[in-house]
Amino acid sequence: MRILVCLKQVPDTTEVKLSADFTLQRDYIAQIMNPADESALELALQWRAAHQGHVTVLTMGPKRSESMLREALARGADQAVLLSDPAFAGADTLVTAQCIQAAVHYLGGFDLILCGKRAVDGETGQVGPLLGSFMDIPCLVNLTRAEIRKNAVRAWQLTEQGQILWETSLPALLTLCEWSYPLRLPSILGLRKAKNAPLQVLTPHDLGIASCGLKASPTRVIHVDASPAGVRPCRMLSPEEGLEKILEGAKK
Amino acid sequence: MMFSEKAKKHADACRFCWMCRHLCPVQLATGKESNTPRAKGLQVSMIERGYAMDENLCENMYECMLCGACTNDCVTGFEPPIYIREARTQAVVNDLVPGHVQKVIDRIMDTGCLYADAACKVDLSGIPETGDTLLWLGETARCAVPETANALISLLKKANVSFAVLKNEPASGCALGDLMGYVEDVRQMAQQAAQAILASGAKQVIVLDSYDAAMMRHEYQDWGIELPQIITATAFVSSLIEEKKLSPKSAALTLSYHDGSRLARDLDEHQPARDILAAMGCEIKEMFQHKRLAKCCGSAVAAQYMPQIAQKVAKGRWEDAARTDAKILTAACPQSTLMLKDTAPQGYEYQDLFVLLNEHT
Repeated sequence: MRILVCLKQVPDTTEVKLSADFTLQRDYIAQIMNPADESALELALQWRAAHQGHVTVLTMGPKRSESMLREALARGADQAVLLSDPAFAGADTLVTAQCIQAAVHYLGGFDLILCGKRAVDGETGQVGPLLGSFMDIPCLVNLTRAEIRKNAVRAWQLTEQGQILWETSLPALLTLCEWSYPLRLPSILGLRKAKNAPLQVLTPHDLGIASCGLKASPTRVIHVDASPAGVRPCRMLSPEEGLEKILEGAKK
Repeated sequence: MMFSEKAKKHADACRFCWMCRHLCPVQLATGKESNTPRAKGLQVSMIERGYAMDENLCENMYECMLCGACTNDCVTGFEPPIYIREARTQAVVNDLVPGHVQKVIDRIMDTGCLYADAACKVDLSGIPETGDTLLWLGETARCAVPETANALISLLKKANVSFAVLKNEPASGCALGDLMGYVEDVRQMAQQAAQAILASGAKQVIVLDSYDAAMMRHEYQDWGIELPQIITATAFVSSLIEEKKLSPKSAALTLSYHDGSRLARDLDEHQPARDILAAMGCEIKEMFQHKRLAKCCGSAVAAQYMPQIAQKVAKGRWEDAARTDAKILTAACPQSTLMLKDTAPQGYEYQDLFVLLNEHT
């Protein structure tokens, strides 16, 4: 079974500075693996142990993303692929999914593609479903649990009302909720292997992509407002004033 | 070198104010500039900028108690234990661990215990291995300072507490975690300990060794390892006194209390031990560095691989105690008892808190 896990390096903070073009300034903040992607990687490693197979991790990002991929190798992934080139910079969710789709074809296809349900920086939750849609394979999102049964996947989707149990054939794309599968730590043996493991770096040229990045992205961020954290527009009232307001409201 | 971005960030956060050099127990004991937390941060930064990690540098990374005094007082919020642990992981990965440390790592990996095959010296006769309340003793209390464990068991019996103890208690992983950093090999050890706890049917675990308690409360939780409620032995015994299940007699001693670093900082627990001493009518003469500011007195792991430095650190703590009017020093963690009981200067005496309470109850 060939499994691809899509990873994203995200800032380890909630206080991220924005550039003038409303892209995130990532250089001054420690980066970590996106928490929901950790669940996807752990599930892939568990499935590989149970059903045999091969786990490839892939990310699109600058060269510094290499550290996250090596960390994934140290935790047990078999192969790491980095889509890295200045031309990829500023890609929106649509173009990111198109680039990953091209990489999936380049790498020869997978039985399962696992992603986090969303990244904590952008919070869009779009790349996984877009990728599934472009590849025309079943896509199950917001999963807290999944099992492989013969040539099918059973998965539990978290909804506001409870859970929905789905079953689908392979190949399929699944997006996992954060904390559903706590990711194992790197082992000493894994760290030794990951230190000098080869890392495949792919560019738009390798993938046959003519145009990508910010230029090819239809999404434009026009304006961003900071949320008024901690400010609640409320006023303390005396019981008499409160009663008056209630009566006023009742009259209306 | 594979330091995490978090470790790199913390190593680069130092503003060289040097305040940590006045707090670090190992720097104070050895007088070596390379033993200041800031110097260790500088070395990690140098490695990240291409300086080759060598045995001398690794030796230096092991000259640290991971007590967190530097973190507690740092204005930049810089946490040296994060990158020191990772430097130790890198030392293991790159086969650069000093021989005397490697021996201890090998012993734990081979036998699962810091004290190798040393038999449990605690009297566990008649105590079941299953029940709602599990008493977790820890390897130091079982193998090196059984008097602490025996006193606590006696106190629980006097309070009519129904409790269980595992005859073959596995290691929690905290010693290996201090030596190798938080790697999967350590998490697996923690997982085995958790399985043993869950198999006992316990709904709450009273943990005697504060190193184990800190790891169970924090790292186990971070690693998704489920456990019943974890209660420190000091907090549990203090509650027994409050509920009048234990009624200590007056000891009326004047003493100083040493806050173990993991109890005081990692678990943020200061009051229960003081309440126990107050219940015995003891007057506490506080050292200047107490509660969250407490200075470490050494650790069981450090005593295994660098006994001379660990002893100097313990003697440093005795010097602090000697600056108070008290002639007796007490502590509530087996690892503190291990370090302080044989290093008392002439005219001073060490009393383990649980032993003292048991004698007066």
